[in-house]
Amino acid sequence: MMNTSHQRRRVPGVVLRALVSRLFDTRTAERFLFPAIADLQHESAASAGLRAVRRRVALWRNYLAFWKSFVTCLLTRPSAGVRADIYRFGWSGGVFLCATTALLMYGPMRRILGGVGVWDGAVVSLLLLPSVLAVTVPFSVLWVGLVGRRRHAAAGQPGSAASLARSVFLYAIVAATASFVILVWVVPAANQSFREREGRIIRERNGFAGETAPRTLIKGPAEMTYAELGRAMAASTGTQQQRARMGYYRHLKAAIPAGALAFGLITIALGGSRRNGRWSILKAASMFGALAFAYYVVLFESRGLALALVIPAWLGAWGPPLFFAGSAMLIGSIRLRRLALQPTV
Amino acid sequence: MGQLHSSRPPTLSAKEQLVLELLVANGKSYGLQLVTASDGRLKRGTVYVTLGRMEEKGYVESEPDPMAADDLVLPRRMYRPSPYGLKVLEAWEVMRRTLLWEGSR
Repeated sequence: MMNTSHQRRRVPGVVLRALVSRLFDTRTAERFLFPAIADLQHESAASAGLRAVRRRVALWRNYLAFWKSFVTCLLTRPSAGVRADIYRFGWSGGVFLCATTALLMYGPMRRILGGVGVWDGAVVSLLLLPSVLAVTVPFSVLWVGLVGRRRHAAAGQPGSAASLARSVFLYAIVAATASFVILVWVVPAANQSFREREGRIIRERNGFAGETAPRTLIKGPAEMTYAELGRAMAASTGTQQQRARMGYYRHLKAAIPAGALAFGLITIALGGSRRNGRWSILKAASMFGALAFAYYVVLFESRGLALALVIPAWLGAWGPPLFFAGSAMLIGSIRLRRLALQPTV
Repeated sequence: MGQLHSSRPPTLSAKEQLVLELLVANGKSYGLQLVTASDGRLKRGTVYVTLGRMEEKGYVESEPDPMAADDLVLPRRMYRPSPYGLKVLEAWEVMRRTLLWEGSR
């Protein structure tokens, strides 16, 4: 029996079925997720005679039940692929983190460390590290997702996409959490100490060594914790621009870690392609470059708009992760819909 | 039949026990029927995860409902307790009663 695209569009759960078939192995799909989709479809058919509101409520209850099962399966279904991915991601993520962190630290270190003692050099490096890691950790998700896509040996086999998606997703959660902890608690303290120590080194270098009294610099938004920024905003008597700046940086502390999740989503969505079995390293690196460039374009644009009071501060900070998450949803849904609308015999 | 050949003794969580009891009482059922029969003790969002795990442990058996075969609409999956599941349930009940009795002495 052949079903038309139109018929397929009308039946709820057709896209979900394609998603599950694409992501999970047959066993997980048939035992854990297809039954939830079957309930959704049968309940939807059974509620056809009800009022629109009740019909919708019944449908959404079943959608919710499905997504609960889906997330549980994504996080808990054991797979040998996940272990291999953890090993592979550990390697490529570790190499990426070391390389990019060293690269980003090189410039400031070179500026500061000329003629500085070993101890001061070590402390300054340590204090600079958190603010660099806050950026490189989320970007490592983008890298491992794209490189993982390239190297996934079992690409095209049932369940391999799920295995990769799950691994990327788990890596993204770990990276987002680490980045959040670094940005909210570690970076403010490290930045402030860094500034004070840098000031002392520069004073000594310029011949003000006699000035021994430690200087406490006034904290800027990057040196304040989330709570301190909130208090500063509440007590602020400054201009609207100043308040917007503080609000922007406050939201940024959560938006940058959320970027790790958005990067995970975009690599999962791009990994949904059936045409590309394996990617070359050049393709993965080019894709990384293009996406990183797009991220910074959106970041600077939304920052500019937020600080110019054109858009709210929260939207300015959340612009890049929202843009990436939205793009991922769009790409993913287009690909799934295409897959779901293919007639089955 | 995960735990049949395992050296570890079988375990039965409260939810798994409830599912087996409901399947014994009501016969072949699908997930939502179990949710309805459980009076809120089983949830829609977790029932198939529980049933899937129980199937892997060998406590229940399942098959697609042959009445609902369609290209677009998935058939419901019907569950029934396996002979091994029934044995585990029985052993669990005996152990529970024995421990209760021991505890009350």
